[in-house]
Amino acid sequence: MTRWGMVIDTDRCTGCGACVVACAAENNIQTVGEEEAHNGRAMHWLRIERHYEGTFPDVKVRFTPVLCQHCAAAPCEPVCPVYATYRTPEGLNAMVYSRCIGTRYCANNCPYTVRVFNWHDGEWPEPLERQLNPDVSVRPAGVMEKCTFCVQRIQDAQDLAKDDDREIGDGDVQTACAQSCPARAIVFGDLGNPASEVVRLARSERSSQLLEDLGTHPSVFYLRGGE
Amino acid sequence: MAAPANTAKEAALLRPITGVRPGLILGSLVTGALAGLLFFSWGYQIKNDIGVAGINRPVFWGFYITNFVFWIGISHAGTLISAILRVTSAEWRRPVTRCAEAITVFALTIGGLFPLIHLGRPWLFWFMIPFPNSRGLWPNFRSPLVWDMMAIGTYLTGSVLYLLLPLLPDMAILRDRAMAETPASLKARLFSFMALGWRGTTQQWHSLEAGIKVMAVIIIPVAVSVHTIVSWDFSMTLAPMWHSTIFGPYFVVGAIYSGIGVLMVAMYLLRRGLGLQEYLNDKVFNNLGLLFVAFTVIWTYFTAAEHITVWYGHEPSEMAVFWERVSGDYALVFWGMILVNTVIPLAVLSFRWGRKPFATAVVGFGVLIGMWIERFLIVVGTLRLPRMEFTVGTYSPSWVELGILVGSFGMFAMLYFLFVQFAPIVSLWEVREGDHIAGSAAASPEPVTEEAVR
Amino acid sequence: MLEACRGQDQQFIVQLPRRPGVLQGESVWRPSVCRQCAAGCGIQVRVVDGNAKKIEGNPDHPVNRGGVCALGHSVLQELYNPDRILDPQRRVGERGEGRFEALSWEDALAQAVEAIAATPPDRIAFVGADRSGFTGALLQRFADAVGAPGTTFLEAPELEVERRAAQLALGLDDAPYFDVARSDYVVSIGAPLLDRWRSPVHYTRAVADMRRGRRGRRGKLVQAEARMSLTAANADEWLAVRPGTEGVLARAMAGVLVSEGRVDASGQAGYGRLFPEAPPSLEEAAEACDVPAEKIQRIARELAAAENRCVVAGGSAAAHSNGLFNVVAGLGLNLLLGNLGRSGGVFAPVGSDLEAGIVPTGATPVGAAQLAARLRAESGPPVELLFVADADPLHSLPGSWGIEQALAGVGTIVVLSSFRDDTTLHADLVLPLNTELERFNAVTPAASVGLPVLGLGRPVVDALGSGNHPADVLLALATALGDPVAGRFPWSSLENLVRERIEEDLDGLPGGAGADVSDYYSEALARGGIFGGGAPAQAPPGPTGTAPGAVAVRFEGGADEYPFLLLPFASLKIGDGRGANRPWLQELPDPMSTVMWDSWAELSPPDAERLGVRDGDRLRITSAAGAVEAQAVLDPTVRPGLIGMPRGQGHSEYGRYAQGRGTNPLDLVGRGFVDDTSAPAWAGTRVSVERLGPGDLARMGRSYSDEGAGETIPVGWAPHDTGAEEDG
Ligand SMILES: Nc1nc2c(c(=O)[nH]1)N[C@H]1C(S)=C(S)[C@@H](COP(=O)(O)OP(=O)(O)OC[C@H]3O[C@@H](n4cnc5c(=O)[nH]c(N)nc54)[C@H](O)[C@@H]3O)O[C@H]1N2
Ligand SMILES: Nc1nc2c(c(=O)[nH]1)N[C@H]1C(S)=C(S)[C@@H](COP(=O)(O)OP(=O)(O)OC[C@H]3O[C@@H](n4cnc5c(=O)[nH]c(N)nc54)[C@H](O)[C@@H]3O)O[C@H]1N2
Ligand code: SF4
Ligand code: SF4
Ligand code: SF4
Ligand code: SF4
Ligand code: SF4
Ligand SMILES: [Mo]
Repeated sequence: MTRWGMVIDTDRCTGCGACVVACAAENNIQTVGEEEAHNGRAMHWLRIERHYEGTFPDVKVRFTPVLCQHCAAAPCEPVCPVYATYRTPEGLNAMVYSRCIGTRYCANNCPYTVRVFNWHDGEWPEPLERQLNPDVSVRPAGVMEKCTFCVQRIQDAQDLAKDDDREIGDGDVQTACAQSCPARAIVFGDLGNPASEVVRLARSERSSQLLEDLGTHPSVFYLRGGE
Repeated sequence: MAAPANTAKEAALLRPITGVRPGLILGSLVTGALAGLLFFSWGYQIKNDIGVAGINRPVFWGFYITNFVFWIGISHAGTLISAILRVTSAEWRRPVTRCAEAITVFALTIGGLFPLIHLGRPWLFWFMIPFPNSRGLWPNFRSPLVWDMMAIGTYLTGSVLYLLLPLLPDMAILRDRAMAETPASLKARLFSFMALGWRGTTQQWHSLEAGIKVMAVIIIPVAVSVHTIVSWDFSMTLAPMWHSTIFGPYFVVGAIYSGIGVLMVAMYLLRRGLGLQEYLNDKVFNNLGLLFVAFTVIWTYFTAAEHITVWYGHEPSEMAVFWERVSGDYALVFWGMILVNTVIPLAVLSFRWGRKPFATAVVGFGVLIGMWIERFLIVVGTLRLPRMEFTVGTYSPSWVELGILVGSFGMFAMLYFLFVQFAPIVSLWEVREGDHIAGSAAASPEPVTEEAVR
Repeated sequence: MLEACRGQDQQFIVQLPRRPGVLQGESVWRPSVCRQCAAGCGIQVRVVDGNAKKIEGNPDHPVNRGGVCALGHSVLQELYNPDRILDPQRRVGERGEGRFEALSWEDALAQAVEAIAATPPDRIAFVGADRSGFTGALLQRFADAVGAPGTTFLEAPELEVERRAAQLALGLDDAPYFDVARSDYVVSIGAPLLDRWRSPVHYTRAVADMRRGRRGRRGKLVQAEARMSLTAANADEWLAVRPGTEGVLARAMAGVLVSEGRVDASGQAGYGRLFPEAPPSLEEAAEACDVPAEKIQRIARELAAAENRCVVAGGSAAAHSNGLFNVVAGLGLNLLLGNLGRSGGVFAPVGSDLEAGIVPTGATPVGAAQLAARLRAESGPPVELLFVADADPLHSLPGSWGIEQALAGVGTIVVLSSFRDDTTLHADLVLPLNTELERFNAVTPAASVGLPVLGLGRPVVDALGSGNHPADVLLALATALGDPVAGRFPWSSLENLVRERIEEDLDGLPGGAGADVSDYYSEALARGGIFGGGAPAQAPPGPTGTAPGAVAVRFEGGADEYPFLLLPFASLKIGDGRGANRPWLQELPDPMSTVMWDSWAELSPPDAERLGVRDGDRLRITSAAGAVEAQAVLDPTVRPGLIGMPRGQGHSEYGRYAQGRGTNPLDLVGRGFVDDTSAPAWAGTRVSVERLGPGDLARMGRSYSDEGAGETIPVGWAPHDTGAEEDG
């Protein structure tokens, strides 16, 4: 059975932020402006966490890209009163925007703080809106959103495979963030396919998951940095 | 059953209803304007999106949910307290129950608004209501918010019934008076509608008593469940210092505690404003004061238990919230809460002089503030410090949230002002009954008549 | 809780995410080239119903191999920017007032021709962006044809130093290629490989592959740099040297290598010619650099012990008064270690060579400093006609150079630009440029990757206005000027020129020998360019001179009055400022400071405590050259006594997203130069700091004051319990 998953190699990632912009471009994420960003309302589906260790001059910095972990036991799902967020058969934690009434309960119960809320409608002054991706709906004010694992790209790849009358292969789906990454730090694929690259990497001894002890069973694995 | 009237004593109660009291009219207008502020601010928010509030990521809930828990807590003043007193047949309850029950209905109405106010798309709130439909869409019964909606709906229905049932004989008294004076007036028609054909027959008295008893027994578990479920909005999650088994009873206790607080303030104001010294006498305040101090101790115990267990467990993400309260950004607020919720109540209410009307009202007012702070600390204190430390946030409310907070108090006061002008804020027949029992233990029940009231 | 509550939720779900294909019309990917920085990555553009939707990297392009940086993505927001200049404009109000009127291209070209014809040729000044590639070549040819002095290119200011150093130490005309990906040990002397330096995407991939691209073999990156750049943050070891002592560190490492005999015999001779005098002692160097002697020694030994190794140099090390010495000392280590032309070492830059011959012999570019002197009428022929092509001198040159005041004295200013940037605001005539997505492009990466590369791309979307490629504007101008100028530009368009060159050189091009030229050309267009294959092979010839002597670094401004040293740095996301008008980039948190929509000043916590400054406070930063305001970011990586400030913001114009946002640290930089060059010593200005009050920086995530020092990752970093399989 297909279960989409991701491996992020923090020893490759430099924190450059290309993936963050790639995600915004692919997924029609609104920019909120300086004032709203100051108010904690920037809407990135993917953030690069920067952590300091130590003090000058023996100080180290670590970068961790954090996106929706597509938890197999997602705490955000049961609390949604209207089933606007749910788990798809392929292991995605999906959002039904038209169903969301904006309680923001799911966001409070996401231990990874990856959900973002449309506090206002987005603005795309002419002709910026010509860039919007037609495969992805633009979310109105009052609606929750978050990383979808680029579901439209998954479906595109599945359609292509179907057109060619073949099974979808490892590497056929690349999320926008993975595609963009200059360091090739992000690998996306099917955790249900034992031969896939993500499974191989997820089994590495460098592999771990965020807040593993909570039992959320994330679909994202991190390869630890350093020597 | 029905007891003879003490005309002189009751005059004070009936004056606001029968006559025109400019003070009350003015009060209704002023508080009505404040209630208008609530609806203006909310309307502004609906028009300009939920973003006009100060909430953000990670503080997705702020003043609105604080107010929600606060007002639902206040609502426990009435029904629960009055039911407990009724079930335990505490005689001194008689002058208290009505004004407590009114608090419940009004606080619930306001509290129930807040989940709507806080929605990103409030016009779609009905997606949460389960009803068969062609799309086969149902709400998610696993979500505490759906439980909330049902629990609050049940509680509101129950407490409205519980307010109206004991109101019947009094409405009949008012109806009869109004009919005698101005039979065609609006008031007369209103009272006769509200009296639901009460004639005071023995059969009716029996039914009423049975009804009140049954309601009193039912409403206690409903009230307990309501605040338990409200607490589960938090404790069912994984958020630091929310995921706690103690939250159910802790919230119920806090609710009753804040309920008594608001009752104290309301009773004091009614006593002063309407001259009800004879009903709401020192004995009533003394007894409620004892109940109050008992809840001070219980609340303090729960608060201590909550924090001590967290501290002992020393889970890092919980400790972040713990230190934020004890010595961090919210320390002043936290210790302020301890001052008004524990130190002052114990220092004042433990003594007989402290259980006098003014002192209890002041303590009650403090407890109201303290309990609001408690809910604020639970909601915002936790959300500011998520498990992913990198996403730490801050929160300050916008004018819209402040307007809605102030407006909610205005609306509460307005409803109270209106209620006092419409119904006796102390149950006439119950006090008569009490006086009767106290006066002549052997007297036989006597139907209430127009003569008796005059 | 969650497991217990897991139920049959699927039965309620009726709406799945919308299928692709439901809404869209024709969707195609078209190759093009990114021109947002000089790296020249290959891109693919998704076009749906004629609108560009998404940029992805071209996996076949040797520079970026599929990756794109944040700035590269934002070309879409340049294309569809609401503040673009779509048609020619001429000034109607006072100069700098910002009032323009539209005019036709014919009238605009006529006006430009008139200005050129009316101005004595030596009183014309041409300014461009990159020296490399067809545009730079055509601009130089144009300047030469009208008889003007040499063209000024506003490239990265330290590039001149890096080129000079490469000439001295390695005998190269241009900065070398560093084969980081195949290296086992890379020491970088100040070069911010992973930042917006020479080729960010390329070197990011190279560092990642060096570490994790080869099974069981992980290379190591050591960064010697005064400020913790993104590169230093990602290095395995950061040597936080005192600013200006990068060269001393490199020389001390040389001393270790020589004294311990860990050197390449033939290389040692060359190194001896480069540095005739003996290296400093380890202790002296340790003292000067503030890096423990044992550490210098250990790293020198590790470097020598590695099979493949490389020493990179440049960046802020090149921007001190002794910058040339620093970079030569760094590059020179490669001689000692025999890294020249060796796998994982240093290689000669390889271009496409197709531009050869366009630049007239004898035409030499003129440094920015000389241009500034001409503009200020201090030396050289004064400027009566300033012709700026796709550059913003006002924003990208230090404020102390007095460009803004000098512009008032220039008779006519013609600017080729897509936006009303700081310089364009002062223009008399604006000839609009289009974006790379609307035009034919032929791009030679400014930073070679050791292989021949020419990125090619046809227009991928219909043009939004009447703007054009700067090269095509030049060709049109030449035609309008008539002979003799027109005669020297016998090409109808840039594409015509490129196509002609390919035809001439076909046999010398990768895969070109014996090919049919039109097949070759259309295949190249479909692929996104002409790319050489294999590994870099051409070794640098070796030293050609003697390094400048080791002199102590000089800073501008007295240490008493100005106790801090300012280190400006190029922002990865908005580059030198070009990206400042893109909302995506403004809202992208800086990787280190996490600041959005603003610039900032990095301050060490001990300094902040001394000054009573708290995180986010507004500061006034003053140098002898000027004063700016910025908000403080307390950063535990900052060496006490330093202040870091990002470049790129502080535009006085440049559209709604950029205008008036943040500050430009170049307004503080003085007029000092790197010794023996005309490059500004932008890392050598002293400043003072004063607290103004609390600020309101937009930031993402924790700031320093929220946390104790030494915070760790909030992660269950417990190893995963599945089988331990080695990964690549
Ligand atoms: N360009 C383009 N347009 C199309 C199509 C296309 O292929 N291309 N497809 C067309 C087709 S086939 C269809 S069916 C339509 C679909 O068009 P719509 O029916 O408009 O589809 P939705 O927006 O998915 O859902 C409608 C509304 O249902 C609400 N909703 C969600 N849950 C509930 C609930 O429990 N109760 C109620 N009452 N409402 C709820 C949502 O908030 C939303 O406002 O789109 C049509 N439009
Ligand atoms: N994930 C997801 N699934 C959905 C929905 C959703 O919103 N999301 N919506 C549901 C709804 S409401 C509906 S109506 C269905 C629609 O489901 P489908 O009918 O599968 O919808 P489409 O993908 O719009 O169209 C099917 C194909 O018709 C092709 N086509 C277009 N024009 C013509 C034509 O003239 N002739 C022929 N032969 N083919 C043509 C299109 O290229 C496309 O490949 O999907 C349902 N399923
Ligand atoms: S990471 Fe958060 S939003 Fe994503 S599935 Fe898990 S709980 Fe839900
Ligand atoms: S915000 Fe939307 S998705 Fe989240 S719990 Fe509320 S209704 Fe569900
Ligand atoms: S997988 Fe797609 S949606 Fe998720 S962060 Fe990456 S680009 Fe964004
Ligand atoms: S694009 Fe790659 S290297 Fe850059 S921040 Fe994202 S994951 Fe890290
Ligand atoms: S590095 Fe430069 S050329 Fe490459 S994608 Fe980024 S901006 Fe474009
Ligand atoms: Mo449909």
